[in-house]
Amino acid sequence: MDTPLAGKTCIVTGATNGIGEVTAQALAQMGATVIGVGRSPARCADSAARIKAATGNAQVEYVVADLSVQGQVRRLADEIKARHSRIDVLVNNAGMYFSTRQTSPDGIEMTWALNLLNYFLLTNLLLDALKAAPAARVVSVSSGAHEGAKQINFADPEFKTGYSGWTAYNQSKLANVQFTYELARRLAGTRVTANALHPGFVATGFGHNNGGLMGVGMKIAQRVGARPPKGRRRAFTWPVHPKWKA
Amino acid sequence: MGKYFTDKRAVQSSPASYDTDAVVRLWAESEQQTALAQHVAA
Ligand SMILES: NC(=O)c1ccc[n+]([C@@H]2O[C@H](COP(=O)([O-])OP(=O)(O)OC[C@H]3O[C@@H](n4cnc5c(N)ncnc54)[C@H](OP(=O)(O)O)[C@@H]3O)[C@@H](O)[C@H]2O)c1
Repeated sequence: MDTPLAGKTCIVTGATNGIGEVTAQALAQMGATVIGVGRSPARCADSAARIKAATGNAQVEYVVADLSVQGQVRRLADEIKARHSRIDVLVNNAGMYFSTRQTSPDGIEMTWALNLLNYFLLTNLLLDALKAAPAARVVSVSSGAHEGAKQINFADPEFKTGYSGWTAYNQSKLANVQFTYELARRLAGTRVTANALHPGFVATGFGHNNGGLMGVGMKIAQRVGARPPKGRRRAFTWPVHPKWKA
Repeated sequence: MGKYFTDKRAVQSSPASYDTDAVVRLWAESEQQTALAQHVAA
C-alpha cells in the first residue's frame, strides 16, 4: 500500500457525511493519522468504523463537537492539542445551507456561525500545533457559490433583516476564500500554507436538513450528480497530497 | 499567497474575494465575534 502520509496527523471537520467523510477516508488510505470531527456521537462512531474497515488503517479517531458552538470549538481544540503536539493538515469542511434564518446557541446566525466563524476559530486555536509541523496545510472548503456574493454585508453579516438562505450561504463561502487569503498572508514566512477549495457539485447530505422543496430538489439533483467519481475524490484531497506544491 | 483550487488546479476566485480592505475587515470582525484575543490571552 502506498502511504505517503504515514506519520502525518490530519483533521477533517464535518467528517460524518459527504465530502468530509470521503476526504477523511482518502487521507486514511494514504496512511495518515486521521481525526474526524462530527456533531453526532453515533455518526462519528459509524464513520470511524467504516473508514477503518475500508482502509485497514486503525489510526482513525473521531471527536464529537457541535462546531456552531464556540465553546465546543474551544473544547475540541484543547482535546486535540492535549493528544497531538503537531498537526500536519487541517481540512475545514463542516458547512451547511439553512433555508430559514436560525441562530446558534451563542445567538449567532447559523450560516455565519458554522460556515465561517468555526473555520476561523478552530484554525486560529490550532495554529501553534500547525506551526510545529514541518510543512502544514490548512485547506478550507469553500464553493463556486462564493461568486454569487458581491461582497460581505458588513452592516448586517448575520442578515437580521432580509435573510435568504442562498444569500447567507454565498456570503459565507466568499468569506471562506477571504479568510484563506488573509490567513495565508499572515502565515507568510512560516511553514504553514493556506488554500481554499471548490469541491464541485457532488451528491452529499447537503441541503437535506431543510426539508420542503429545497430538500427534495437537492435529493433529485444529487441522484443525477451521483457519488463523487474517483477523479473528483482525488481532487478533494489534492491540496494535501504530497505531490502538490504550494 | 493563498490559492483557490478546483479540480486539482489553482484558479481565480471572484473579484470580490481579492478586495483587500474587505479581507482585513473580515478578519477583524471574526476576531471580535469569536473573542479570540481574549481566549488566547486567558
Ligand atoms: N455538495 C456540494 O455539491 C458542495 C459544493 C460546494 C461546496 N460544498 C461545501 O462542502 C462542505 C461539505 O458539504 P457536503 O456537501 O459534504 O455536506 P454534508 O454531506 O451535509 O456534510 C456536512 C458535514 O458537516 C457536518 N456538520 C454539520 N453541521 C455541523 C455542526 N454544527 N458541527 C459539526 N459538524 C457539522 C455534518 O454532520 P452530520 O453527518 O451530523 O450531518 C456532515 O458531516 C460544505 O462546506 C459545503 O459548503 C459542497
